[in-house]
Amino acid sequence: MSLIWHIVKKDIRRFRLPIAVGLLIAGIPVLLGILDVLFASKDIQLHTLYLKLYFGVAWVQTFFVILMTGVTRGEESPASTTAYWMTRPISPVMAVKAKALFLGIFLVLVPVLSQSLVLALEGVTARDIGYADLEMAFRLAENILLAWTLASITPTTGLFLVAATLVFPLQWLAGWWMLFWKDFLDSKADPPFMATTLMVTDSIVIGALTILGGAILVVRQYQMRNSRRTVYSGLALLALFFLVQPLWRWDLQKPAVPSGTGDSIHVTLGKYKVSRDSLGWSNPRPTMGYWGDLEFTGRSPGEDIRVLDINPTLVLPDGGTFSNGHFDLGSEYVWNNDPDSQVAQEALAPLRLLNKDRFHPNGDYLLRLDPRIYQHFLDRPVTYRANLDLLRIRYKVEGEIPLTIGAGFREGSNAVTLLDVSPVGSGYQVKLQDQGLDLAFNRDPKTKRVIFYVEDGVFYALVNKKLGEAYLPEPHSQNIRVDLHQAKQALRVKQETLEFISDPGGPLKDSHLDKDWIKDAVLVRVRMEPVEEFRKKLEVGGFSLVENNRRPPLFHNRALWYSLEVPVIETDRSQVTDWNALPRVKSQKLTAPGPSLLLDDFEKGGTVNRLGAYWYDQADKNTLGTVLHPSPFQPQPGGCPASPQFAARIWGHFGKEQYPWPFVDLGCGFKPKDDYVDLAHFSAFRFFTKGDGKPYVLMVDRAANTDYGYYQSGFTAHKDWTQVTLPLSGFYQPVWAKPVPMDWSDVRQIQFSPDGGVFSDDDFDLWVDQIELVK
Amino acid sequence: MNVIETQNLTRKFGPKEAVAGLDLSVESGSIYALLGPNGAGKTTTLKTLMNILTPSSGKAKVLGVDSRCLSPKEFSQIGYVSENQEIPEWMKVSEFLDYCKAFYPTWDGRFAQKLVKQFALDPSQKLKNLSRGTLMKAALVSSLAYRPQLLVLDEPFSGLDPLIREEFIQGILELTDQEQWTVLISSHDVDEVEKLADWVGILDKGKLYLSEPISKLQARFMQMTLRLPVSASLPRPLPSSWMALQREGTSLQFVESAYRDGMEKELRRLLPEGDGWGSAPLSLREIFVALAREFRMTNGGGQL
Repeated sequence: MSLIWHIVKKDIRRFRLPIAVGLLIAGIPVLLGILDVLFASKDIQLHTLYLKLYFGVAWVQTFFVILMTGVTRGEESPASTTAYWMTRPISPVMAVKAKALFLGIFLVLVPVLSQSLVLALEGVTARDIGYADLEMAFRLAENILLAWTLASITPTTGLFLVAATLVFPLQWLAGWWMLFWKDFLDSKADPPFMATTLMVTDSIVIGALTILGGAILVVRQYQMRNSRRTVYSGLALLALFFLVQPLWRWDLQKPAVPSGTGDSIHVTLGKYKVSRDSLGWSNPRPTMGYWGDLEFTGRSPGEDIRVLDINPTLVLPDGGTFSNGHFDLGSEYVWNNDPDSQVAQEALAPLRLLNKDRFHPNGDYLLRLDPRIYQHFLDRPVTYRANLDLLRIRYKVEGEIPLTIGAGFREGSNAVTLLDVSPVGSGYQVKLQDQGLDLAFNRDPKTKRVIFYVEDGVFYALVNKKLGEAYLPEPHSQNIRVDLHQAKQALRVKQETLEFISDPGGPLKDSHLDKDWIKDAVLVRVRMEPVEEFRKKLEVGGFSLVENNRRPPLFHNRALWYSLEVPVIETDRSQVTDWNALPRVKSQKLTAPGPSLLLDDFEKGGTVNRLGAYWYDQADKNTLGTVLHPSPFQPQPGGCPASPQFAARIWGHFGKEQYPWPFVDLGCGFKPKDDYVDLAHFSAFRFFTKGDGKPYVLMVDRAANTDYGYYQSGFTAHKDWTQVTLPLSGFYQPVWAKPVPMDWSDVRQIQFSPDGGVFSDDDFDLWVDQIELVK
Repeated sequence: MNVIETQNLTRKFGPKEAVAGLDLSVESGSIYALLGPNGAGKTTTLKTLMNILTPSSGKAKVLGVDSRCLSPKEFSQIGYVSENQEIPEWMKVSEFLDYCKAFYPTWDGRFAQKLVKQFALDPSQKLKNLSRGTLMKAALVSSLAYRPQLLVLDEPFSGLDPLIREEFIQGILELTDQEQWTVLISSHDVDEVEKLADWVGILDKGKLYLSEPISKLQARFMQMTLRLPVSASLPRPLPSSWMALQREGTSLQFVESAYRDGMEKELRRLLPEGDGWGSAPLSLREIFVALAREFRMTNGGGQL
């Protein structure tokens, strides 16, 4: 380290003049911040001027960073065959570390500290300063690594400047290329999805790859001693990456499909009102602001207004205005799957929505401001003006799904199947599988993790037509599980869990979502379709922003209502979908040409069985200690004597046998599309097994089972391969299961599992191979 | 023991072979001069040995280590001075030496001071203000002060005026008497090398044509003169050791490249009609001229 610092000190002496310039550039924002706080706190125009200067300096800083990185190329240059350091006791790693330390101090640390100081002067919280600094460091590192890569292959500063002049604009152009490509995808997808919403994730990925790739190229160049071939090939790959990376999202495009079988609900239109309600506090970096609900009232059932974009302006009492541009509230097709009660009730009318008070409207951003701007409006009465870009949407019932396992319907390229209905608390839990959904990556605002979002503008309701009542799923009950492997395929699969809970505290205190209520219930799927876009103006006077550093309680002020005239359109009356006419899934008879039907011998080493259905394994996530390998499922080398290449194996730890109960299983279906089959032609399952000498069961998953109480038969996994035959006549239901007749006409899949009656907090290891159905 | 050893060392620039299958050995303690015309591959050879360039094929060992694996440990025992080396010219002489000092555990401050005085360097001068010769001296001091085992000098005399060149050579010679180091020097300046080196290698078009001690080389190269009647014929074929044969009237002269004591009798048998035999040793320069003619070396080696 002392030698590295020795080199850095030399570089500081060498570049003392540029360093002084850099410190000046970093110091100007601090000076502006001080002036701003001292003199401009009541003058928004002056403050705006300071802000423009501040951003101007930021641009200068960017150019300085690029130039300075190139200039440092002259010291310990990797691009020369006459470099002094190459024949001195200075290793390439030492040279890279010294340069990185020098650049890190003066081109990253100093600007970041400067920004921190400015933000602190403006009263921004430490947390937000932290976010801002991280982002700044990330962007600076991105520019430095790209510039350093160029500097590593250009032997003179002149050549570096030429290369930088060519490459950096290309980098910015790559962003436009991405936008163009996303817009193209948006226009081709059906239904459209806003691929541009993926830009944030992509830009982070590109930035990270630029930093990583640049670092690798720079280090390689120092190590490889003028091996330009390495760097050029790396740069070519990087360029290729810039050009083709938008293609990553190509698989999100969905082929055009005819519209669904559902129809629009009757719509009549009148005047609409917009309310400013529940102004709240929000402080996301890099902006701070207010969110609130723009609630459109007085509508007719089946139609809604959504806000696409807001162009806000703040007006001070002296007439001064401040406009911070517009902000897009997201895709017009990005709907929350938990529609607010009013909308849902209207969409479901004339049904009574029983748990409507459990839902609160989701807020939109009414105002987002730069932290420094924000401070200037504190405790000052201002008028809020905004142009609202609105979208009129219409609710369309796409279909009804009876509460029968395996029931479903197909709408366009989407296929929905009911996987399970089970009681939970004071309600029911419904599991669904959707295929062909529009999925996108996005960032979870709470966890900051990149996750899948479903952008299909669809919600479900549990409807009892006889009683004329409905429930919406609990707002936070959705537990969406997406098979990532399958998500890369053209047909994407999503599983989601909805919880419908009765609401004792609601207006109908006697409502109970029990077995009597659900007996006649169906699941209704409603899609929100766009109709037209239009713009309205909104003006809200006499409010002031609260102090940013404290979190005020949310409040409701129903007294503030503002009327908005919305153009009226006439739509045809139409019939609600004939739900009973929707197709049902039926089982198919499974036959075999010979005495048995081979389900799988795993010899191909893949996860698709001989009948075309997928193998999978799954385990509980109930923090009971369950651990499952492999995950996802993959056949393992080694097999029974009849098929020695591969076999199925699951191993791990079975959790403690207590509520909410552990489970582990290895399963597969009989048909590629998870259809039901009839096993009437067969009398037994036969397979090879080995393992840890412990008891296991083979379960047969049927439509008739609604509580996981599957028919099953036990066997022991001995140390050596042993062939086991399990007659279907010997299968039985667990004691806790709801009894259903023994019938093999509605079989969906089979599952191998540790015997839950024996296993508890115990390791398991099970092999199976050469699985057959015997006539 | 060989401080430097290469086996079939090759370095290509595109299709062109700058160094072509070089087998070179430099013994410990020797001052080895690598001679050759411009473009012979001398600098490329040295840069490959110093791991500034990676070999295209073949191997090179420096201080017993593969040249591609030379680490700070080895470089702390190697001094390398090149005619066009990029040294931090913005530093003063004293700053430059202080900067270098940190990297060498064996740096001898007194020795450095002595060298500065010996080479008449002004420590307060900035390197960029020094003349070319003085700059080379400063670079040499920075490469000698830690008493390297191996000193590699790439065209050190290039562009130096005669006085500086003489000082430079004298300095190295004096130090060589005191220090036990090995010097590998590349040059096309034969006269200067003759004063300095005790071992010589001749390189052309990337190939090593000759490598042996200078004393041995000078002992086996002899300028032979004699008179020979016009009607007398020369032996056919000519002995392979004869070089630079010239016949004008009755005067015949050639260079015997395999001369040894008592050889005159053999020569008289080959040319029985010859008389007035005379022999004279050759300078290194004359040997190179003979060799250059014989091997038709690349033009540009005007000093050979």
